[in-house]
Amino acid sequence: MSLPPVPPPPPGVPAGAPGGTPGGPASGGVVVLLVTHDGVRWLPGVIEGIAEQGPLVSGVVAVDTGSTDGSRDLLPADYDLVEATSSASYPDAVRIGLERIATTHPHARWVWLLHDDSRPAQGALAALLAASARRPDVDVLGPKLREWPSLRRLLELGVTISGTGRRETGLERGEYDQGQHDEEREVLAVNSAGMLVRRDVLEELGGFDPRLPMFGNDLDLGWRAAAAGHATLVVPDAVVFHAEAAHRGLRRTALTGRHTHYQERRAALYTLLVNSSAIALPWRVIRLTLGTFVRMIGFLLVRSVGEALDDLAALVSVVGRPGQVLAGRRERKERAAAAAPDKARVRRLLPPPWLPYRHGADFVGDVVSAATQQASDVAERRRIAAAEADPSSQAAIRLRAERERDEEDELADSGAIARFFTNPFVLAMCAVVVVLLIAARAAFGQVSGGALAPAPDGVGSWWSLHLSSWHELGFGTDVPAPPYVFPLALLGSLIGPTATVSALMLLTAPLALWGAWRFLRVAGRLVSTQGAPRWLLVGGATAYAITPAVSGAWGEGRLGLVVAAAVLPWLAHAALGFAEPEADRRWRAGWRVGLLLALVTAFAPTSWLVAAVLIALVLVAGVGFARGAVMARDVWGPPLTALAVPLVLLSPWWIPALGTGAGASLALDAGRVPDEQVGPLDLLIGRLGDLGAPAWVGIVLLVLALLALLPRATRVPVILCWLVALVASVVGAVLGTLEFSLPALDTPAGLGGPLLAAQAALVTAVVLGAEGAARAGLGRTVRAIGIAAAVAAAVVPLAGLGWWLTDGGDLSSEDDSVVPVHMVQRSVLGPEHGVLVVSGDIATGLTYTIHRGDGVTLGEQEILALSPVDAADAAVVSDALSRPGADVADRLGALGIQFVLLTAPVDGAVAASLDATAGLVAASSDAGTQAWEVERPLDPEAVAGAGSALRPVLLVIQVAALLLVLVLCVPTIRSRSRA
Amino acid sequence: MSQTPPDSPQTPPAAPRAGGGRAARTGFDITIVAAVLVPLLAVVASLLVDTGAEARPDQPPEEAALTAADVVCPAGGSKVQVASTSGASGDLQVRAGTKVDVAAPVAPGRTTEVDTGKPAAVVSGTGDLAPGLVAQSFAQPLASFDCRAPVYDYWFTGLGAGARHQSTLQLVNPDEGRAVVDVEVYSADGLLDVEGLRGVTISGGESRAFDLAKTLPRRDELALHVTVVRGRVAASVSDAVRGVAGAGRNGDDGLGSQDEPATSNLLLGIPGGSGPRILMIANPNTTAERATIKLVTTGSTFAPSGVEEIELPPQSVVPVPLTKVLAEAGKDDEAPVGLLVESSAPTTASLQMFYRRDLVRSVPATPLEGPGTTVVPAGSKTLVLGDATGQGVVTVSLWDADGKELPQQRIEVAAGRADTYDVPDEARLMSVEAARTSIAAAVLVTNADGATLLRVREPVSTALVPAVSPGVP
Repeated sequence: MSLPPVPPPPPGVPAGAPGGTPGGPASGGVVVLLVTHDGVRWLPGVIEGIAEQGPLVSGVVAVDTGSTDGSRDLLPADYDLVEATSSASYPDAVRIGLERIATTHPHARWVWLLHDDSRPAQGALAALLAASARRPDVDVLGPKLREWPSLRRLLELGVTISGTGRRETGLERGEYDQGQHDEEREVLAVNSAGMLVRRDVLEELGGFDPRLPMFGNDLDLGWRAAAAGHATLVVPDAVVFHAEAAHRGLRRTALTGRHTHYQERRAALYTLLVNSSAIALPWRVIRLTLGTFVRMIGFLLVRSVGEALDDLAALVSVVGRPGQVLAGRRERKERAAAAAPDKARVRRLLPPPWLPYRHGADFVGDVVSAATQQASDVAERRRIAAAEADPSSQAAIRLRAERERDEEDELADSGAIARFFTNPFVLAMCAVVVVLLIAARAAFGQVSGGALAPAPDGVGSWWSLHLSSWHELGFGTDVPAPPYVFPLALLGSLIGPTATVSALMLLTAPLALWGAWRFLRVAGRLVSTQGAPRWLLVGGATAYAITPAVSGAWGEGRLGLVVAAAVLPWLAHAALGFAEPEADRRWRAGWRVGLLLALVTAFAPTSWLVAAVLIALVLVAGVGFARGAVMARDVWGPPLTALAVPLVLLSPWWIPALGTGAGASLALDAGRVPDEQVGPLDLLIGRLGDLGAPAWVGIVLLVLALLALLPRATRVPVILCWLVALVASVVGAVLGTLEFSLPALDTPAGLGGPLLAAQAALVTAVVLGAEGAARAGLGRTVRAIGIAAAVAAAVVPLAGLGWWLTDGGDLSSEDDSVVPVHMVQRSVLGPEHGVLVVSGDIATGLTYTIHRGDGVTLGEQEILALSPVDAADAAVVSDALSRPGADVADRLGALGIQFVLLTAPVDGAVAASLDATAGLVAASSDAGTQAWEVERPLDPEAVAGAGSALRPVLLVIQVAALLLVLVLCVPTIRSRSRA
Repeated sequence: MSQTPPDSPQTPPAAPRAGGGRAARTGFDITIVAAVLVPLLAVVASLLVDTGAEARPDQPPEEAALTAADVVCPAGGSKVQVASTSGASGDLQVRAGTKVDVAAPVAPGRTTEVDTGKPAAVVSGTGDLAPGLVAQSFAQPLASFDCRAPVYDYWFTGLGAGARHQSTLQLVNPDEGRAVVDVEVYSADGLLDVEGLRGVTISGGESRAFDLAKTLPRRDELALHVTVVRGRVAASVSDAVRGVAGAGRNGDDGLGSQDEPATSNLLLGIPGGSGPRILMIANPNTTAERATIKLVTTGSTFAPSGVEEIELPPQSVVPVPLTKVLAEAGKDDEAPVGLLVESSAPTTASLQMFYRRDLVRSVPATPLEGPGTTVVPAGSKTLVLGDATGQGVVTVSLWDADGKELPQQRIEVAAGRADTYDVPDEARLMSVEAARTSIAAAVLVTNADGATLLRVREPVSTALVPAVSPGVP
């Protein structure tokens, strides 16, 4: 098994007379059948190769199918040239050739098929004939095909076809020939380039199927041969170099067309359907149809739209014209009528049934690994790009040195577990995660309280909130569901609503920690080659991860801000991709940032404004400072794309919101209204409302961020972080002037988004500043300040964590509903079984809410808070509670209200007037409360309403856009390119 | 490949950094300017942020004229005297027991007497006659029973459940629907758990009486807190003593109620004579409290000598004998006309007195926000005014039985003292209106058989219509 020498075709070998002696030693006569078509690029080599076979070749019949490039002129005079029209397919050409052989070489036993782009190596025919001598039972032989012109890469050593129609060679793509597959074995088929076949067998099989004009006819022939009991052998000692000109699209003919993938796929489907047993046929049709859709999804995932459409077209072409398949099957049946098909042989030679699934798994693995390594290092790629631009630079020299060191490190690498347990930073991060989980323990299981409404009983509620434009809540409303309901519904479909909320409240802090670590590491490396010290990363990531908690958002149950805070570092990380040296990666980054920004915006709507102002500022500044660079479409395009994506993805929310007078939801944080109060400086010290950690912890961070401006080495990046904080503060200040008057109360705008952005920027500023200080070293005078700052920096995450551990906020697992169980049991029967829940007293005013279904659950509170109250409906309630007339019970029934519940403390006057109202009878209720049942018919259509025709359109747009963005996010997989 | 995009915010551009370093040596560094300016602007911008909407103010109810009103006169009296201050004429409906309604014609200033017999009576006015319904029920020997519109909390202090002091709690449901009340009983020993007084149901139109001597026989003084849980109920107490002080002092009188405990309770109207006087104080709080007593005369308010601070154990009733203190306090013009009980926490109080061997019960007077009205029986009577918050003038308007207005009377009042006015015998309807101050008033009616105290209330003429608004979901 020595490495086979690759003999470059000797340059000057004359294309002399090939052995005119008919019939070599054991040949009984081998006639070469060469089919040519516009092969002038390769033909000289092919002719040389044929000549090198020596006297074994007893004649060459060349069939030219209408070449226009002078191929015919290159053919030696002793070749028996048959001219065919350009419409002749390969099977036609072979048939014509065979006819000619029958007349000119009636005694020829073997036909050696060659293409005009396949060059046999020296001794190829000899090796084939030797094998045929050894194995007289074999009727078809094929050589080892290697790539031409590389000559080293293996193309095929026999082929077979999988159940999904994939051409299986058993080789890795681009595998070098090191003799690793040099083993004579029986295969299903061999390529027609270099195929040595007994003439009588080829004629008996009827040649190639004319319905497969170009591709895949060899597989079909092999299958038919196997079914007829003929053995096909691959002979690795025989080597043929093949340019695969048609397959690679190097040569276009009327037969290949533009869509070689379509042709190949069509051939594969046809081959499978035409050769499989009649019993298996329906199953094959179904499997191939479904398989085609799976393959299309795969192609779409990697943005190969053309190939996906080719696949579909091939399926339609084959399945849509069953006549072709049936005719093919009939032919095969007629030919095989004499003998039963050799099913055992075919089965043995077809690949194992699990093979397609392994390919699928490999594909998924490729995508995942590409996605995870994708952004691993913008910094790295920028350095490599810089080094390539100027190989003699210091940076390039350093890069080479680092690479050598890395290789050594890899060699000395110990096991993953050993690395894990000996790495103090990994252990520190694990400890932080454990502490974060303990601190968030209140979120285990059912959790609600503060601004967080309980999760619904089933995920169906979330889906129906998202899908319908009319909600049977309150008096019925067409205010759209908040945008975060869609992601919640997706997650909830997997793990259930309660677990979804619990998991989000519990696991977002660790997720934020991880994201912040990744982001800070790359940001640190962008600033200096060594990156930030890892203890800085641990501290910075921890300080960020607890931001939602210490700000009070977590304790107040602001689920939206908690989730947004976890996604934000990943968004920032993706946004670093705007600085990628490659345009394609910048576009990918644009789509990824868009997707993540849509997610953040869904949970904290005002975040989008911060991003928009920031991107506008950067682009405007860019035009000012570096016009040339910024004006390129692939530079300004990705950030603007990122801004546009949320607008499209969230269109089912904001467009109807503006249309139904609920525009306030665009500026409110997710959760129960009113939004938390944000006072002066709160944005920069990260405090939302009054449930946060002591303010001094935030002030320490602010002071550290100011000190971070001192180290000169990192001053510019720190200023940029401050710029983000400035934008967040300005957006916050502008939003802070807004106040929304909702039916139930007045609320300020939600400043959660700007607050998170400002905090993230300050944490980054401190980490980068500290990195600069640590790298530069400090002078004696400022060393004391540096040490004090380091201590203070450690205090921020530690104090925050400590505070969080001892403070559970407003969250609890208790159900705080005031509606008695027996009413809930009725209300879940249908929306018309509502409960009018009344609080307050006459002196200070009565307020009411309407409990329907399982009460106000997560996602519904915003809808109810923003829904305008119909004056007529409100009048019914008002009359019932203040001056009930005789028809009040009827009117309540028409509103779909079955119970009236006065919460404690009950105002006796209100209770007495309800007691005295005809049609209301006392119902049992919990201590301190009073309840009445409406003894009048309830209108089943009480809260029903007409849906909007716009919503289905918006939902379709949303889903389509989501799929598109997901596909566009996926990193480009380089190995897919064929060239 | 080598094209470098502009730096994103997070990405430090290499060029400015290098340039900054060079520029620093030449004296001008734009990064220093930015390093000062950007954080400064950020801090300034964040200082401008101050959100937070004010909570919406409480929405006060609207006042609207009543369209239907009831006052309930407890059983015990024999004659109900009714009037209307609405200024309209027409018939009020009086229903006593299961009897059909009796029409009581009223006109401005005119009072009508209806003989209802012993059962409780419900006086109803509709339309124009709904506002300003006034009624009192009287019995002989002189006793009065407080007719009032039903409320939801009643506090009665100083009830008896023994052989000599017997009180009867009466619950009247004027509506058609079922009503439910809870009664808490305070005794000298604290809160009592009385089976039969929890969740008492009174069906529509029904009147139920609880003779405490049968329900919970005890010898100590009691206090009751009646809470209406469901529906409307008028609660009242008629009090009877038999053979107190050995000298055969007998008598009946209605015991009025307080709406809620207060830290300052002013009992107005102390008839002359030397009969026994006992103050009862109920402390509903769960803590021990203290109370002090002051006497109110037409000249001043002062603490009598020889009366210690009174200790009030938690949730208990404390009787305080005051016969001697009141007898010695002063004679004639200097005689006390009122008693002020001040306590360290809200308490309730009442006085048990005897006048010519007849029982007289007094409860704290409620300050009047507007004109206060009462019907009065024929005979000798005295208006007692107290609890003025400052210097002011009280106008007293009087009408006789035919509705003829008698001469108005103006009385100057001042804080820290009480004022009295002898009402003409023929007056049957009286209205009291204070200017520049608020006032509390009671009428002491005396005759040869005994005495009774009437409360002066603001007649209910408007209903409060609550503001109803959507709540926070």
